[in-house]
Amino acid sequence: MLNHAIKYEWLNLLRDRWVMILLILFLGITVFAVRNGKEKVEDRMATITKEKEKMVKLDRKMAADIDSLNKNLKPAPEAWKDPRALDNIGWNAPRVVAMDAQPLAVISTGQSDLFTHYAKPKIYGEAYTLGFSELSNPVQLLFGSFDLAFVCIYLLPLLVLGFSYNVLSSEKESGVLRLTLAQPISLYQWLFGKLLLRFFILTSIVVASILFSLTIFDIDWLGNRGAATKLILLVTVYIFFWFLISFLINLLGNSSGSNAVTLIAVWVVFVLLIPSIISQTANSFYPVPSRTIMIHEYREAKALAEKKADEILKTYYREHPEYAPKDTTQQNQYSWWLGNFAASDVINQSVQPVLDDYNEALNKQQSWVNRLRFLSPAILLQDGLNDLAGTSPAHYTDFRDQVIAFADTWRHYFIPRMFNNEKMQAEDFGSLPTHSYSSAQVPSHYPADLMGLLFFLTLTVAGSVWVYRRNSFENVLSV
Amino acid sequence: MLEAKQLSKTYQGKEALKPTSFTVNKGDIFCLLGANGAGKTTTINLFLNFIQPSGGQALIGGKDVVKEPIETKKLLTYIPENLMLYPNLTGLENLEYFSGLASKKYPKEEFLKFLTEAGLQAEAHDKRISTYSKGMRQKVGIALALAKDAQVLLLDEPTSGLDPKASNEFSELLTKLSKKGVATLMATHDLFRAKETGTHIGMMREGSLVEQLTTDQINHTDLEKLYLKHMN
Amino acid sequence: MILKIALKELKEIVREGRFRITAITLFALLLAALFVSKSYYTSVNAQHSEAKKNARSEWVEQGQKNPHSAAHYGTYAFKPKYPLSLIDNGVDKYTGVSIYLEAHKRNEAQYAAAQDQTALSRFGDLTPDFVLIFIVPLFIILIGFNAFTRERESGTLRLLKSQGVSTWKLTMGKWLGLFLPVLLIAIPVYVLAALFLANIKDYGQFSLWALTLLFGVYLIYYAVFINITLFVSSHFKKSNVAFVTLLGIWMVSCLAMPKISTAIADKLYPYPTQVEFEEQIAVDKKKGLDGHNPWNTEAKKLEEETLKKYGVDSVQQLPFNWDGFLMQEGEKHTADIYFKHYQLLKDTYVNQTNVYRSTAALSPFLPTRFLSMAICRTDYTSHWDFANAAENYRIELVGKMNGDMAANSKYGDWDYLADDKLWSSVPDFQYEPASYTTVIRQNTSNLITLLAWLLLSFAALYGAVTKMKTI
Repeated sequence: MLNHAIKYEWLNLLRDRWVMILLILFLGITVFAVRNGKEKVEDRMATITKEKEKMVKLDRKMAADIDSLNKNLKPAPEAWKDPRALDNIGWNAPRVVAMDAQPLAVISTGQSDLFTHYAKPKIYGEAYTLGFSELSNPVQLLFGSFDLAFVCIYLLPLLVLGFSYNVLSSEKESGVLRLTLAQPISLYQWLFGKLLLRFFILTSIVVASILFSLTIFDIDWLGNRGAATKLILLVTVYIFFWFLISFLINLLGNSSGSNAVTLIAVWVVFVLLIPSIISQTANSFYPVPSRTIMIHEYREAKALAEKKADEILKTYYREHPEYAPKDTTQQNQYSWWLGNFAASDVINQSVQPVLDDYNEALNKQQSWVNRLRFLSPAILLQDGLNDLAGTSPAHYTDFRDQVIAFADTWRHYFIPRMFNNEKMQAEDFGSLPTHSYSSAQVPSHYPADLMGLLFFLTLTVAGSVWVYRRNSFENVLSV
Repeated sequence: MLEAKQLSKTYQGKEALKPTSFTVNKGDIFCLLGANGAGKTTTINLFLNFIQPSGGQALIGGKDVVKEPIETKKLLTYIPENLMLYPNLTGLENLEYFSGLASKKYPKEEFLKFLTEAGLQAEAHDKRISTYSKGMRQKVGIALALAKDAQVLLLDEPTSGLDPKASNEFSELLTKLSKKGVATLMATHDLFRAKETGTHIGMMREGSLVEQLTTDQINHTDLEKLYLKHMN
Repeated sequence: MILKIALKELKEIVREGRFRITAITLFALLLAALFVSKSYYTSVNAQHSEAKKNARSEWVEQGQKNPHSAAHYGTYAFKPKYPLSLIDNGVDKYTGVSIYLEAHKRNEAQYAAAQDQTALSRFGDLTPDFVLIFIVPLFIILIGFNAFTRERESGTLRLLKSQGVSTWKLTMGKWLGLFLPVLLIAIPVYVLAALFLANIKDYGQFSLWALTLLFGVYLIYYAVFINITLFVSSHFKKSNVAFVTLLGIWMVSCLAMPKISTAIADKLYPYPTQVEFEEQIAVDKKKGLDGHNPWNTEAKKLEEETLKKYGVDSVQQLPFNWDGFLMQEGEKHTADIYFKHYQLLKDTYVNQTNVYRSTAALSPFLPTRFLSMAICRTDYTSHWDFANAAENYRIELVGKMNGDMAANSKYGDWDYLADDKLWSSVPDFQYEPASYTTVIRQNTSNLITLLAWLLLSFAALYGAVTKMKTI
């Protein structure tokens, strides 16, 4: 009987002009959204590529210069311009530490408009001074982007509701329902069958639109089937949730107009109100620790450490005997830097607790707020999509850590050499530390997000069973 | 075939149907007469299990409609006052669809035969319902009764809004079905048709069945006099 | 006559269940938003006050050191918050709250709240303006979508026309009938907000006039939406279609158009990346006067000129510390470089703003939002204003330091120490925001666009109802 009903439902839908218009509109919107995402990602990647090319060019030039200087083909420039000076390399030829885009990065802007995607750490400067914010018009950040995530989170439910809000009420209002219910069928099964069919049709078209858009913009989803499957799965479960909500509301037996209003209200609550309320109250009850206060404590610790500057260098030599000058007759050309390194070490040691405390408090706050995402399917979907796109806050925190770690590596390449008063050789360019980006260690929220959405599904199914039991045909037919 | 046993329905203290009993046998055409709100539609809705009885039972083919809703619906066809179908589907498609819901499958030609037998002209079979008149839609309803091989026909004001010709055609179909053994329960205002086509008449007033008789017991004029007497 | 119709409409609406539920919910949301915003900003403000005090005491109590070192140590300028920012928080979440002021460098505002928050914060915060600008139009659509369609569907429109009621009067009656519920909600909120904001301590100057202007802007916005709602309702035969269309219009105006506008603005006038921006500045700095290195060519020229001016042969003979003087000149030059580059950023911003101004013709949401942010002093222009004021203060501060060093020490004497007398002689950073007249002047185009929406929507409504079909 289900198959039979499906065939005629399909015919009904096909012949409905508005349905066709809605679906074509949706395809257009999806294409637009993916295009926006693609442009943003391309811009990002183009900048990084350019920087890497610049770096390679500079390396070559410096190597060539070192060669010429060593062969006395050129006059020696001032010390701070000499490519053979290690501090010059460490300061003027930094490596590009870049955050590569994930294959599906185009689907969600996430936090990518807030932060930079590459840094060029030099041998001077402490971790907290590394800035990670990106230049942008804050109005852009406020309004957000028209990306695939926006389409899925905000617009898809409306599409689902448009497709299903009057699935029972329109038949009741047109009068056909009386004939249908006079047939030997169960209302629950019949209604569910109708919605199931519409769900399959809509989901197929949505998935096709998404894959089509990804294809025409050269996103290799075939080569990343795992990620693509996760994306499709997440979106499908989200769509199914909204169909189930519609099913539940239809079972109440009210008019089409009333259903539309109720469903819009549900949309407003889940997609607009709950997220904004949670966000606001979370920050009130569990505020982000104050960075300004942390900076104050940092500066105090630093000032204290700087006062002991002379002592620091002596202590440093005691603690790092391998750096003690081997040849006390020759003046170390990097003497200023040496002092700076030693001082830096001590300062970092004394301020590290402040930083650690702050980061710990911040992490606690963020993980608490993260738990709140289970209160709305819209937040769960946003989280899952950011995870797949590699633009979640966790990804940027991880990138920040990678940059800080590499800054350390970079410095420690130079420190022993500078303490040994060495010079830069042309061949050394090949052995300079490099960075390659990996996001494997970023904890993935995806499984939890999917579970959360499935939980919402279960809740809604339970709700609809309850409504069905309570409601008789009397209500539904209003006889 | 159809039996009401002390069937009653009360809405929030108001008695829409007082305990009523009557029987409709095979081949009978039982016409329920009465003013608006007398309880005719309530009775029909009770047999359809659209509402639950407050007391008594409604039986179709000996089965209680509340306890066996699916089984009893297999036996009946219902044509409401204004039969509405799916406007985007054709007459044929609608017939196929509703028959299918009742698990009745036939080849296309059979369905077309049912439509013709119900009096629907051949040119209309493949046109969308949005182009049909009320009378044409009713004929699809009759075709459904034929396709379902229903043993019970429930009709609610079937001739309201039909012109005399269509009304006459409808009556002829009813008689045909009744000869086949179909038990018909029809709520109507149409005294003329009730006497012409019906076998039994029941008069309802404020929820009670105040009069039950067979149509051969009375002529047209007396029927009208009797009806008006009860309505005052 | 119009009033009679309006009162009947109002009665019909108020008696409907959906109005009561939504009106109460709306009101509750607005109150909740006010309270939650207040508690959030009180705590943030407390943090700021403490940070400000810390910064000032750090500066004054930094002990004895060379003034130039003090200039390197630097201090912070904090952006003040104003009472109206409770209503509309604008872009404050995305701009930093404090700027680090140091020698030789102009910094961006740091510690934008959004960077430390989870992605959840990108959904928006429940501030009163969130409800006022997104939810209230939905409310209008909800109570007004079937203003005409229900009369058409039930046949009462025919009855009305046969009584000789003029369509325009009928429309105006319905218009008032929709506007009154909105007022019923807006006025108490306005009064409550006024009382609330006037009584918050340590929150800066509250201007009742500004609050009134803000609500005036929102009332115009609602009037536009009422016009659109009635226009659509008069155009369609079926209520359902009118409802879906109006929802679509709301979606496009309030959600889609802002995002599309940012996409266009970003495409046409992109910002440089932070790294690129800094590198361009670094390049300019290298080419120009840089203060620390006396071997720089510009410095040499200046040295020659100054020596000639004072008629001496070497810098030691100058009556002031040449290093201090040179560093100040270098500082001025650096500041000029920064000014040039920040001006380029500002130009990009202005160009982007113009893009928003043109797309405002497609959505009444945009001019309303911009006006609202401007009045609440939480728009990007206010931030620029503050950043520029902070920069001016920085230049003064560093200038004072270098000046003191130039006047009070001898060339080569790096042991010269100044103390807290000098530090405290620099006044604390005080920021006065632009006057409201300036704010309005800067936003005239938004105001005009919004008024144009009002007039044109009235005209369109008039055109539609006079040609409206009765059946």
